Amino acid sequence: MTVLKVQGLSKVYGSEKNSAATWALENINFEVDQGEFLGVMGPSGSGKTTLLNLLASLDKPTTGHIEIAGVDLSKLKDEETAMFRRKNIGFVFQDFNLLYTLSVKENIILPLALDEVRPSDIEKRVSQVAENLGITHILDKRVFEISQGEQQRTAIARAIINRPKVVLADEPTGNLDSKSANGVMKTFSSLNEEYGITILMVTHDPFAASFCKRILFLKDGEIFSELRRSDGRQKFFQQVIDVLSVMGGTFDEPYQLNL
Amino acid sequence: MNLTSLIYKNMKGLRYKYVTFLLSSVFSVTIFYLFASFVMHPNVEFGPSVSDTGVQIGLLACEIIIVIFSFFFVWYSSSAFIKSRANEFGLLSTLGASRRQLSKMIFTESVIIGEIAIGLGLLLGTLLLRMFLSAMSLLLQVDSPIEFAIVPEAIVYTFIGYSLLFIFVALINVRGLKKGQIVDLSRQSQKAKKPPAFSWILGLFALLCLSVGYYLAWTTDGRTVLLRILPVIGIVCVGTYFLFSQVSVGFLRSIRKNKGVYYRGLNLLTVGELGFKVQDNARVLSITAILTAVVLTAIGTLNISSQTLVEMREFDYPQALSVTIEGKLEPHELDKIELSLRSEFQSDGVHVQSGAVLPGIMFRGAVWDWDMNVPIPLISEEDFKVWAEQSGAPYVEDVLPGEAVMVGSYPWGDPPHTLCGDLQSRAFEVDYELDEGEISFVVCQSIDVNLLNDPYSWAMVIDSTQMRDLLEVAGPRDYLTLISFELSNWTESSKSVEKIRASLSAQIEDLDFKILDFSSRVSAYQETIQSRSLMLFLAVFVALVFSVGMGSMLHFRLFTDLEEDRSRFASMKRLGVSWGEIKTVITRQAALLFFAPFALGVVHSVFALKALVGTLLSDPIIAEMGLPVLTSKTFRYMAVPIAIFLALQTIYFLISRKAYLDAMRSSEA
Repeated sequence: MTVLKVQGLSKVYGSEKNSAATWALENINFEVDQGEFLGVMGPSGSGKTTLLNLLASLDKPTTGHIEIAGVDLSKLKDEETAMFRRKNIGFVFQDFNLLYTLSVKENIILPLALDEVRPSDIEKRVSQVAENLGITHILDKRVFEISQGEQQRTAIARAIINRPKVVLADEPTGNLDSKSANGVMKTFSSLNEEYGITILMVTHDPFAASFCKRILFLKDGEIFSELRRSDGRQKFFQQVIDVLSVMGGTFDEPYQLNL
Repeated sequence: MNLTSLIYKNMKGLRYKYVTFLLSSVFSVTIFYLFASFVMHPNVEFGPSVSDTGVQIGLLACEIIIVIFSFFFVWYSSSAFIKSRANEFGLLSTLGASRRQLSKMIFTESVIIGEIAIGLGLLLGTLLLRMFLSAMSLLLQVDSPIEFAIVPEAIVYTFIGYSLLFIFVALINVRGLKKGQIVDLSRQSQKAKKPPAFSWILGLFALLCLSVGYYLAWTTDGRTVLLRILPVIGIVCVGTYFLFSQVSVGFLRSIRKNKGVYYRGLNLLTVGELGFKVQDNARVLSITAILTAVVLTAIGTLNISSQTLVEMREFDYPQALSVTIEGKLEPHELDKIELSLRSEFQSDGVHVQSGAVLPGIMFRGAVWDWDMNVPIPLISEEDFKVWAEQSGAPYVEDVLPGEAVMVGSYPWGDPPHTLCGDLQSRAFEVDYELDEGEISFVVCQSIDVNLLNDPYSWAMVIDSTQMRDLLEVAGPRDYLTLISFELSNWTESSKSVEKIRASLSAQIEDLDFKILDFSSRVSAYQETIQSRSLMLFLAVFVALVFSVGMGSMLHFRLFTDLEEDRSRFASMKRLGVSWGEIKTVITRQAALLFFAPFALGVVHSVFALKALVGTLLSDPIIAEMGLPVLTSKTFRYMAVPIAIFLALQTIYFLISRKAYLDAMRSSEA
C-alpha cells in the first residue's frame, strides 16, 4: 500500500520567467509504501530541505502533487492543513523542536491532548511508547535536564504517539554525538522493523543513511540514483559511500557556530 | 574603532530595542515629574484640617508607590533590555572584548539613555501638565485651582532622583554581568528557566498578609487611620507579590494534577506557558494589582466625597430654592411668580418636584418660649396643604383656631408627639406680640419637614380662617412671601437659579419690597466644589496617570518575551498547531495578564474604601448626619468607576493583544 506519492514535483524560487530563478526541485517522482524506511541523501543545495518542507506542507510546490494517505495536500485549506499534519504526519527535527515550557511527558502527549483524546487513553499510550523507546525514567523531567540523545528520543516518541501514517525526519542525528546518533538510529530501525512504522528520513550522514532500507540520492534538484539494501548494514554503508563519491559535491553541512 | 564609536554604532543598529527601553524610561520619568509638579506647586497648600492631613498622607503614599513602581519598572525594562542582547555580548566577548570593556559599555549606554529619558520625560511631563489642567477645568466646569507653572523643585528632584536611579540600575546590571560568565549570558536566551519552587509556607504567608491587611483596613477609624495606613499598604503589597508568585504556582500545580482538565486541548500549552512565565509575571502582576487598587481607591474617594457633598448640601439646604420676601403680594402676583419660576426651570430642563409661593405673616417680636427669640412665620393651613401634597410631607392634621403645627426639623431632642387639643405643657406654646396685644398658639404637632432653608427653617401652620383675620390686622412690615422649590436634578440648576435671582430682585424692587433671604442649594454646592477642586484634580490625576502606567507596563511585559515566544510558537506550528490555536493560547495568556491583577485590585480597593468610610464616619459631625452614602450605598457608587475602569482595561487588552498577534504573524511571513 502506498502511503506517500510524489508526482512531477517542482519548486522554483524567484519568478519562473526570470533568468535568476533557481530550480530547487525539478520533476521529482517517487512513492513510499507502508512499512518502508526511506532515506533521502544529497549534498548541500541538492534540494533535500525543500523536499521535506513540501512534504510537511510548510511550503507550496510550484508544480506537481503530493499525496499522503490518499489526500492531495494542495487541495487542503490552511486550517485543514494544520489538522491533517497533526493527524497523519509525525515529525522529528534536527533541533528536536521540544517545548521547554513543558516536561518530557507533556511534550510527548501534546498531539494527543490537542486532539482531545481521553486522559486515561493518553496515560496508557504514553507509558507504552516511553517503554518502547526506553525513556520511562525521564518522563517527569524537564527538557533541559536530559541529554540531547534523550531529547531526540522524546521527539521521536512525540512523533509516533499519534500513530501517524508516516514519520518525516529531518537530519535527526545532525545535532548528536556519534554514540547518541547510533542509539537514535537503532530506535528508528526497530520502530520500523518491529512496529511497521513508515519513515522518511532526510540526511547527509552516510552512517545514519545505512539504517534505511532504500535511499534516494538527490543532486541539483533531481533524483540522481536509488539504492536498495539487500545485504547487511556494513555492506550497504559501503555502497552509499560509493554512490556519494560518484555524485561528488560537498557533504559538509555549513559549520554552525555554537556559542 | 574605539569604544565610543562602538556604543554609537550599537545604538544605531539596535534602535528598536533601544527605543523600547527609552520609551519605558521616559514614561516613568514623566509620571514622577508630573506628580512632583503637582505636589510641589506653589498654589498647592494644605491647611491643618483633618481632611487636608488625609490628602497629604494619601499623596505621600502615592508618591512612595510611584517611586517603588519606577524603580522596579526601570530595573525590569533594563534587565529585559540587557537580556535581549545576550547574543550580542557573547559575540563581542568571543571577538576579544574584555569583561571590563563590556561592563563599561553597558554602563555608559544605560546612563546615556537614562539622561535622554530624563530630558524627554521632563518635556513630555510639562506638556501633559498643561493639557491636563485645561482639560480638567473644562470637564469639571470649575476654575483650575492651580495655574500652569514650571516648578523648579520638581525638575531638580526628578533630575537628581532619576540620575541616581539610572546609575544604580546600571550598576546592578553590570554587577550581574560580572558574576555570570559571559558565555552564560549568550546562552541565557536559550537556557530554560527553572520552574518556580512552590512553598506552602510562603503561600500561607501571602494569604496571612492579605487577611491581616484586610482586617486592619476594614476596622480602621479616624483615630487609627494615621497609624495604620502605611503598614497596611506595605503588608498588602507583600501579600500581593507572594500571592502571584506562590499561590499562582500552587494553583497551576493543582491544574497539572487534574488530568481531565490539563490534558484537554490547549490547556496543556496554556498552563505550560503560564507556569514558565509565572516568576516574571509575578512582579508585574503584583505591581499592576497595587496600581489598580490605587486608581480605584482614588476614583472611589472622589466619588464618595462628591456624593457625600451632595448629601451634606441636601441636609444643610432642605429646599433647592428658598426665598423670603418682605411685603404683601396680591394672590395674582403670587401665582404669576410661581408660574414664571416653573417655566424658567422647565426651559432649562430642570424638573420641579414641588414648588409653592405662599403668603405668610411674621409678627415682630415672635417668641419661641425657651429663652430664645426665634422669628417663626405663620402660614395658612390651606396654602400649606397644597405644598405638602406636592412634596409628600406627612400632613394630616386639621388645626383649630389657636393651635399650630410646627413645620421644620425639631432641633431639641425628640419632637413632641402630642396630638392637637391634648396639650399639657406650656413648653409648646408660641406667643406673638401684636401692635395691640398678644396672640398665642399651642403647638400641637411638629412635622419633620423643612419648608424653607435657614434662617427661616421653621414655619407655623395655623387655621385658615384665623390666618385670614390676622392678615387684616397685620402691619405692612409683618407680611412675608415664602417661596420654596424642590428640584429633582438640582445640581444642574445653577443657570436657572441665577436667572431667577436677577429677575426676582428686579421685580421686587419695582414693588418697593425687600428680599430677606435668597438661598439655593446649588450655589452652596458649587462653592464647596470649587474650594475642594484641588482634591478632585489630584484624584482624577492619580487615577489617570496610574491607569495609563499600568496599561503600558502590561503591554511591555507581553512584548518582552516576544522573541522567545516567537521561536516557541514556531515550534508549535511545525508540530501542526494551527494559527487559530496559537491565537487562543496567546489570548488566554494576555487576558490573564490584564484581568487577574485587575480583579485583585478591585478587592484591595474595596477594603481601602471601607477604611476611608470608617475614617469619615468616626468624624462626629458626619456620623450624626448619618449620610446614607457612607453606609449602605458606598459600594454601589464603586460600581460605576469599576465598570469604567474595566472598560479601559479591556481596551488596553485588545490593543496589546492585537499588536502582539500582528508582531507574531509578521514573523511568520
